[in-house]
Amino acid sequence: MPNDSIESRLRPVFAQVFGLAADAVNDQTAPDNVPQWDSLAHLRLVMAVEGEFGITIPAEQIMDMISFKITRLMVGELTGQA
Amino acid sequence: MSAVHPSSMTPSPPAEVAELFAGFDGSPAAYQALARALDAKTAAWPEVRLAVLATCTMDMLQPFLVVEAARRGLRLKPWFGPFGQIEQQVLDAGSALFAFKPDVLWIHARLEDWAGRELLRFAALDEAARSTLCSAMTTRAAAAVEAVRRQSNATVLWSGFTTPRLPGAAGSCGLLDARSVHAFCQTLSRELGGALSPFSGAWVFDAADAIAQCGVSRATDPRMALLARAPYSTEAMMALSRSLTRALRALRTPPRKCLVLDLDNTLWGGVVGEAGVSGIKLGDSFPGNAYTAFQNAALALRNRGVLLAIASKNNEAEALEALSSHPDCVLRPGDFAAMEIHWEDKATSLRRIAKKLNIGADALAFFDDNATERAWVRAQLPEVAVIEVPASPVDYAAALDMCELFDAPLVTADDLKRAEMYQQQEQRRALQQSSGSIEEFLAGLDMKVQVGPVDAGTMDRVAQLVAKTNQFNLTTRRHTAAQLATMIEAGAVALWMRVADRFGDNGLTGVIIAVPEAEAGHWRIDTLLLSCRIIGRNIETGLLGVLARIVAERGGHTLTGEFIATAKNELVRDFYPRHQFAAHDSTGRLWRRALLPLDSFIIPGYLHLSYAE
Repeated sequence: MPNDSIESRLRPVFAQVFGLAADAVNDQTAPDNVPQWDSLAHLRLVMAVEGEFGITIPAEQIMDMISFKITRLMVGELTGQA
Repeated sequence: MSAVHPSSMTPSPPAEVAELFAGFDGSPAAYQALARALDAKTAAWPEVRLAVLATCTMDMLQPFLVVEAARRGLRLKPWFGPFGQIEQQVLDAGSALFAFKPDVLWIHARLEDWAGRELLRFAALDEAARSTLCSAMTTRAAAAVEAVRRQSNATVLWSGFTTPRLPGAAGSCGLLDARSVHAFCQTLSRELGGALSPFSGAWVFDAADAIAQCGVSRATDPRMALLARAPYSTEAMMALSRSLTRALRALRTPPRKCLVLDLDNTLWGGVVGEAGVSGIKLGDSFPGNAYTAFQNAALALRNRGVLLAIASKNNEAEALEALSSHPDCVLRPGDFAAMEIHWEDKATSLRRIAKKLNIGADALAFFDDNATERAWVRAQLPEVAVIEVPASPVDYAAALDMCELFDAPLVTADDLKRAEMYQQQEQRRALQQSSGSIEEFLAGLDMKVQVGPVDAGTMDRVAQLVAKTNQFNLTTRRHTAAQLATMIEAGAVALWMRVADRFGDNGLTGVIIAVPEAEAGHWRIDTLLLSCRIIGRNIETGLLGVLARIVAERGGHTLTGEFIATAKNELVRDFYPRHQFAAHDSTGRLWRRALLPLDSFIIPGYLHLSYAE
């Protein structure tokens, strides 16, 4: 399943950016429950996600990317695997 | 064999962190994870406190700076001031900047942030206005550094001005205007160097070069610029971090004083003990030219003051013969400060070299294609810097730069004493201007023309010239190496020509081939060509003179010349009539001249022509 592959690639990216264990990352992972997810970390997350998938997230969507689940769906759309 | 992109060739990280770097893939996520992991692993290293002040948001550089610093043996603790507050921080003795107690302060002011409005009407600024703008920028920078110096002795690295990305070149000035914003930024950066020179420990960091290395068009990210005032792309942040930490390392680590080189498969391809001097790969064509490029890179280091030495397992006599007599060897025995050529182990050789030069083994860098030798030296002499040698000689020259072992903040006048080679081209031009007649100029060049029979050692380069020379080429016959060998076997006289002058060696750059015709005593010039770079020196006249003498020795009495016109060889249409050949047909193709008297085939004395058997 293509969505599985996005999820399995995205989880270590979140883990690396926020310094979490990979299995601690799930759809609910969001700024509310990750204290280090501040505005700077958010931009670092954008860079890391773009680097992993070779995509460019449109400026209009960057600030909407506020949970693992939304990011996962966004990447799916941008890679044509939604 | 495949070329490695230079940015992926990096200095080897210190042993303590080598394991962490082993699985590092260079992705942004990996940088962030590695920066975190390094913090614990480098806890025992002395900390370098880096404060960053900028007119834009630079905070996102943090993981890149930390990782690139660790690769260079530095534990970097970065602190980022709020953007756009350079003066606020440096003028306030109680500011967060000074509370941080930086060892190094990097100031990155962008022209578009400091002179935005002025830039929008850049084309309208006359010379005086631009000069005013320039001094306003450098004065502002100098005032900031002066303020820093009242509070802190931190090393100051001030970014040179990078070219702003204005809306198209036409937005700033005309497309082909030599007085462009780009040119202005270069002037500005140079002036900045002058403005900061009164302050010790303040340097201009060449940020524009870092941006150029990543590619100007890929350096900015307009989304991040607008969302977060963070104008740089991931690639640009990586490039800036590499260059900045490279500079930091150079400020803290003395350059290696001596580069110790292996010979076989390092300075040339192949093993001289097996292939012989004429069989090693070195010269103008691949793969020999990769080794030539490497020798050139080593020579460039020598010219700026790095000593060269040899540690080779070889028969000394053979190795020395290659170094002193191979026509394409760039480095000659005189270029080496020490030579250890024998069958003893290389750690012993390196110890002897250090002793002879009266320097420590920690001043040596070692370059050897053989991984076993490298491992041996690493184990025996850990203080020697062992350069990681790329798999292909194509990348050897770049490896000498990317190892960063010879970096120095400045090259001093002392370093430059032996740098005369850099001035060659300049001198040649000056001579041309000061010489009255062309003969005077040619005589002043102090040429040394060498001619010899094409053999196995020269065949590749000769075939290459035959295949690609267009302009000075009388017949443009594209014989292959195999065809040339057959012609020589069948009795053709095939000669190569090389020329050196007082400014340098031009290498093998000419070929002439004559074949006997059916009629006894008649010979025909099948091929005559010269490389463009040596046209206009009457070398062809000398080459023809040598050919005439050899053909006469073989019993020839008449020489036929041939001109086959192409779209590109107009230059040599009159070659034969200029050399007293008479038309032999009505089309201008065939020309004929008697070989006797031979003295009429003049070899100009200023060519200093010699014939190599």
